[in-house]
Amino acid sequence: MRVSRTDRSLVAEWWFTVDRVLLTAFFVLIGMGAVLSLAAGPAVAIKKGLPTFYFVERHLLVAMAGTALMLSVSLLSPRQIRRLALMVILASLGMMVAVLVSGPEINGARRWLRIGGHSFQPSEIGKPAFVVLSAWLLAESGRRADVPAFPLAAVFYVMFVSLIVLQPDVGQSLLISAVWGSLFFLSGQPLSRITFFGLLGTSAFAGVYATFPHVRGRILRFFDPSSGDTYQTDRAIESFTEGGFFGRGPGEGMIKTILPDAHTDFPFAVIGEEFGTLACLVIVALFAFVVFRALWHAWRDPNAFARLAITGLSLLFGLQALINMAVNVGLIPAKGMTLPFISAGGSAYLAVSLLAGMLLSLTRRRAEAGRVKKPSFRTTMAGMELGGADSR
Amino acid sequence: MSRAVPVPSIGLYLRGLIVGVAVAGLFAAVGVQLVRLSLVARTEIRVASAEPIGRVFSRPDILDRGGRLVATDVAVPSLYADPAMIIDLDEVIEKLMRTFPDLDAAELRKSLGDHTRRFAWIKRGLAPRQAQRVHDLGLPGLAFRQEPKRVYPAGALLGHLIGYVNVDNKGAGGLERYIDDNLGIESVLGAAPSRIPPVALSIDLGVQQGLAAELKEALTRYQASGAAGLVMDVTTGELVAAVSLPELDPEKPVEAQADGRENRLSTGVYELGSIFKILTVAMALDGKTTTLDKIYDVRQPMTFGQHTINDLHPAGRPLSVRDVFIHSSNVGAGMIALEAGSARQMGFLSRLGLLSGARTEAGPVAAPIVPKRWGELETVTIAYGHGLATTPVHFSAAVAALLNGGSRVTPTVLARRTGIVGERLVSAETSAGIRELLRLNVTSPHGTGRRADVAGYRVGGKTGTAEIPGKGGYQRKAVISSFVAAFPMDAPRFLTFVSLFEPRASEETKGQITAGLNAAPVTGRLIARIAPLLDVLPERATQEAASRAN
Repeated sequence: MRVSRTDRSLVAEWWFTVDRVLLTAFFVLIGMGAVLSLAAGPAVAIKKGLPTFYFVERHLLVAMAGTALMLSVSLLSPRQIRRLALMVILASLGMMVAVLVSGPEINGARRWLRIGGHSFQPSEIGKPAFVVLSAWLLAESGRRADVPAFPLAAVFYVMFVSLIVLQPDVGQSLLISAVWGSLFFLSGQPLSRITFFGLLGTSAFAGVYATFPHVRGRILRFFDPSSGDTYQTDRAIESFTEGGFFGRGPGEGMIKTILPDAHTDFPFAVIGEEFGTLACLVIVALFAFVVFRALWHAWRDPNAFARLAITGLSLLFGLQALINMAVNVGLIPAKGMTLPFISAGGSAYLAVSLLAGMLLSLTRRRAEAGRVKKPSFRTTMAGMELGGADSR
Repeated sequence: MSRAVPVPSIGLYLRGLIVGVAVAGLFAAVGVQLVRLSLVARTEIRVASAEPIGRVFSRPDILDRGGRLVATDVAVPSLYADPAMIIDLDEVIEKLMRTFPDLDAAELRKSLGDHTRRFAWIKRGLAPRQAQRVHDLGLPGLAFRQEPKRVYPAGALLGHLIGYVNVDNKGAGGLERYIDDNLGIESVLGAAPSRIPPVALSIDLGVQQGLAAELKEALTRYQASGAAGLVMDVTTGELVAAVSLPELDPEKPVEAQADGRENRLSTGVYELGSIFKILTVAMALDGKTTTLDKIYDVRQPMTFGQHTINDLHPAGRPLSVRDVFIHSSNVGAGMIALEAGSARQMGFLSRLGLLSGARTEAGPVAAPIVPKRWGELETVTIAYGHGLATTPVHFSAAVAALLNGGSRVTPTVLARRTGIVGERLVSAETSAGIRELLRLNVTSPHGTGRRADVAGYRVGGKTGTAEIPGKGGYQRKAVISSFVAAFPMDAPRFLTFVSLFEPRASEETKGQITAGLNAAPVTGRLIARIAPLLDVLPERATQEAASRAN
């Protein structure tokens, strides 16, 4: 692409400031997802009595919409990102309440809205917005004492998580809690506070464990293979052993025809069987690269909000991928979490695209006060003495 | 309050480092587990490759020409086990053996005792009641899967044509195999009905049933070792019925391998005897080397070296071609053939398709056994049906062409929606001459086929009694007696062919085993039975008698 440096248009600005490496990584993931949808999609579609390429076509459509969404969101400024997040979270919270009241029950859970023949999961699209707003509130709480930002952040978290727990989707609420906890930890809160909330979180988890029989069942089953149905994870594990390092070859997989939701929950296992462990390691490395590339941006970013938002978004992205992959390789019990950009799925895919757009936007190079002089180790030592005293 | 430049503190860097390391650790854990899994020897956590996927096939229905169901798929439960879920192996085996005594206990113990397997077939294609009985045993680890199973409502009636399918519902012979190769079958999970349109046979179940019944009766009446017959549409070549006894049950494919179970119509080649004289006369008429009225002196036997050709009942006078035909004179047929010449005979038979193999949708039609040397002796013997062994299907198609006005017909077991006009093989006059001879052979008081007559249906036909070659030459007492006929003879629509293998003499047959006394009356009864089914209108018997008197 040839764009003049003097071109001040929105697109030209974007092109010169966006992290093209990160952008490329996202495009590689999107492309891999599109190609790999051919692995599990047709088998599942045939089994469900749908046209052979139903899931492949759907995946490509959603991928195009998602790419457009990602690129347009990445054009926004950090301030606009915050506003977008606020709008999205309000819409999402509203719909989550609506789902609880009137949503259809699928597999024993209410988490989908049906809009024009498509099911839509409002909690998915709310996740990145929640992270951005939490980052902002926590950054504000470290910066300004005159606004009750921290209590707001805590209330906001409790509200969002309880709505998800009520669906009930324990896996998602654990993911959200982990991300929020990390942000809380990284926002510079005193250790006493962290300990207090850590204990609170643990007891909340214990409460969930005691209250929801299906969560308890899932966890117990995972630790005791003979106690019940571990059919899905057993099949997924076998797909990696069957695939070996180089795989059985494209289209040769058997597991996808056995696992009920191979295209959403177990694409990683399908890839493992057909393309081998090496391909899976490449995918793991790609996800890790995206996460650490973004964390490296956060590390260097002097702006507290941007730093926390980037960290939160990349953790959300990375942990979601990690949970899915860990389920696939049998490290943790089945969760129903999708693999970003690889799994089939409408609202989850769009949510991840929104997340990627926000990450790309926040990691763009900006001229800011803190940017001008990059904090070296020595100035940071000095800053700690000065700033540390100041912030009390 | 002055706005502090928000520089991250060293503590924050430390905390960032902790989070980063934790995330890196998680990624590493996934990677390590991946490598660990792929290093596990495949025989240890063996999938035993789970369920056999997509190996079952759904097939199109087969209908007869009237749309009656001949073959279809039904969904049946098949019993399988998940060996890993079986709690008490001994109990499972004991109870299964009591329910299905034909199972192999040792085999069961081996397949169900392997706990690394998650799938093992026990018995496929159960009856619903059997499945219920297994279900009621209440054994964990046993389950059912619906599978399509081929069933044949017509039973063994069409066995030789239909062929059979294997346990995965894949065609393994006959028409079923043809369907696999030409129309396609669908690989399915479970028991989905086929979306391929049904296959329509040319066979009429009613006619088939009539033919089978008549042949079975003949089998006992004449104590024959076997019997075969067919009914063919002389213009289209469609087989309306085709029976070879003993029959074959398509649900018991093992029987097909047994001796004497071959399809005598298409896989057995036989010297068919005097019915070949039809071809001999047609060849001579078409080549204009003779006419129906030409006289041949048949009083002396023909001799070729040490071979002598005699007539069974020498006429003792010179015979016209008409008389040669109805008296079935071997010497006369030999003279007609010699007069036409070996080359003409070979060319004619070849044109009729009698010297090469063929195929119908039900499978291959065996190639004939052609003499290595085709000299004068062979020309004479072939003239009366010895020395060239062919299948009844080949022969019937050739005669059908001579009867329908002279156009080639290709035998088929599938319904032909439109009439086909084959290449012209003989002139219309030759065809008319052959029709006249065949009818004469039935109406004449001396005709060998007079016992095949059926009032009103204008039957015409020719007998053939061929000695079966055995050790040390032909066997006088073992013959194949055949009768080929057509009706109504003024404009033939259907050809019938009946062969009895090794019929015995009885009082009814006046101690004879010749075709005129067994195959001919069987044909008469057959035509009386099937002509109404085939929409052939009988002429008033009185009218025919009147026209004969004139």
